[in-house]
Amino acid sequence: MPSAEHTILRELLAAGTEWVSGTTLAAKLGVSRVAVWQHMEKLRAAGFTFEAQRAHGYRIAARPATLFGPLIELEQRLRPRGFTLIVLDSVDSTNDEAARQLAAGRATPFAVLARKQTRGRGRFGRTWHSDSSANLYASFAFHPRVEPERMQTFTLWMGVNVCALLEKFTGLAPGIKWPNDLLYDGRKAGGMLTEARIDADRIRDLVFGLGLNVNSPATAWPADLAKRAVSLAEVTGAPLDLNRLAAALVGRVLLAFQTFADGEHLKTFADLWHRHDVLRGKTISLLEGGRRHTGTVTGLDDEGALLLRDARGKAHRFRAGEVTLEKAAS
Amino acid sequence: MKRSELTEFAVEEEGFKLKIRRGANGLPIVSTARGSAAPFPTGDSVPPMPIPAPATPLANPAAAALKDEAGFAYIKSPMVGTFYRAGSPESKPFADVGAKVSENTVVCIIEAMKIMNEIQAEAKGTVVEALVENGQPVEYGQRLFKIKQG
Repeated sequence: MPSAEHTILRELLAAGTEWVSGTTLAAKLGVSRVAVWQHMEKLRAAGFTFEAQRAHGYRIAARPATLFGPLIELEQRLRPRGFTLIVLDSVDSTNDEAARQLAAGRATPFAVLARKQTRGRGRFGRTWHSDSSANLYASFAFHPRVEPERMQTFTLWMGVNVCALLEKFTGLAPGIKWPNDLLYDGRKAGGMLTEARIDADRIRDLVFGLGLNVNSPATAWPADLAKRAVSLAEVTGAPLDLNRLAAALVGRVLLAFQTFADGEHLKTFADLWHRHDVLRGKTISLLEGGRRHTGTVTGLDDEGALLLRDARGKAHRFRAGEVTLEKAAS
Repeated sequence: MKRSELTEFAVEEEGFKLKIRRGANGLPIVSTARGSAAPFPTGDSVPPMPIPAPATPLANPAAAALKDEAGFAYIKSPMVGTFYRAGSPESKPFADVGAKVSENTVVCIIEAMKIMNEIQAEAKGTVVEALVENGQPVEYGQRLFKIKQG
């Protein structure tokens, strides 16, 4: 049964700019008008402000600037059966929480979103700066019925889907830097970390994690990140509705996962990759297993490996590595 | 090319030249030339040649030869990727030599396309040998650890 806050929100959202009377809300909930008022106090605490007019009732004046679960659920158009959304105030890492929930037997798919992460991380335990509730930290858990080898392009596919969503949402196309950075103007707006647990020949479970810098101001970055990080609000010049973005993201990720699981992603992957790829034709250096390689990126192969041509024209292929864009010669 | 009467074939695209002609012995000779002004092509003219993955010799070749050594099991890589013995450079290895493992013990991470894959032991016993070094590429089915069962 939906909570009273959920029901009140649904009515107010459906009404838009129209007024909803306290009597109507009380009747829907089967409670007194005083009780309605008390539930609305909880919504105020979550960041809503309401206009109230005597004879008319209530309407929403402002939405919360931080994540609010019932609002995300109401904004989410695609609601697959059995999907669970978990929104936490603070967590060590949404990927770790998703792994714990999986270990405890929670059914998939589910998503863990948090207003803050105390130990947000990327590869090899590197820190992902996560102390601003203006940003988005989300992890999605699945049980993919897919052979491990077929997962080679999973993170790339999810990445271009997030790019496509951000383009739709902001009007500006982000770039993807192989394999898992989302960029605007060469600065990092998001990063992905996919973790899986594998038994001999099958994937037991999989967690796709995403950190997105949404509304944090330029002044919020530590000095060492200021030149390398950017938020969507900095790019577009205006704050974004975090809950609407979260709802759109949840829908897109669930859909993208299903498309991948069905093997239908190959129809659009190459086009999407071309649209957002920032490395093709660029001179980069790539660090792999302690060795540095320099060359020009020529594209991807079928397994999502990066193809590089060195200064002598020799082709190389990398399944993994850290890519640094070389400064253009002046 | 041998099937055709073609003796020479050239492609030029964005300042990049690819020329193939039949050599004296009938085998094709491929030559490429770069235009000076144009940027290096994004490259569909020459199919990329995959570089062979660096061979990762087993620490004990004798162990590899023994197929079903009684009382021992091998943890094998379920995928192509990069092998890591710990979750971060500062962390302790998941499974040191001498460590007791059971079916669900995480023994290493294999990274493939930024998926960090936790690999479980699938066997109960004691790690007697780690067969791959940290940070090395591994192939599908490659032996990662030797386990003394029991």
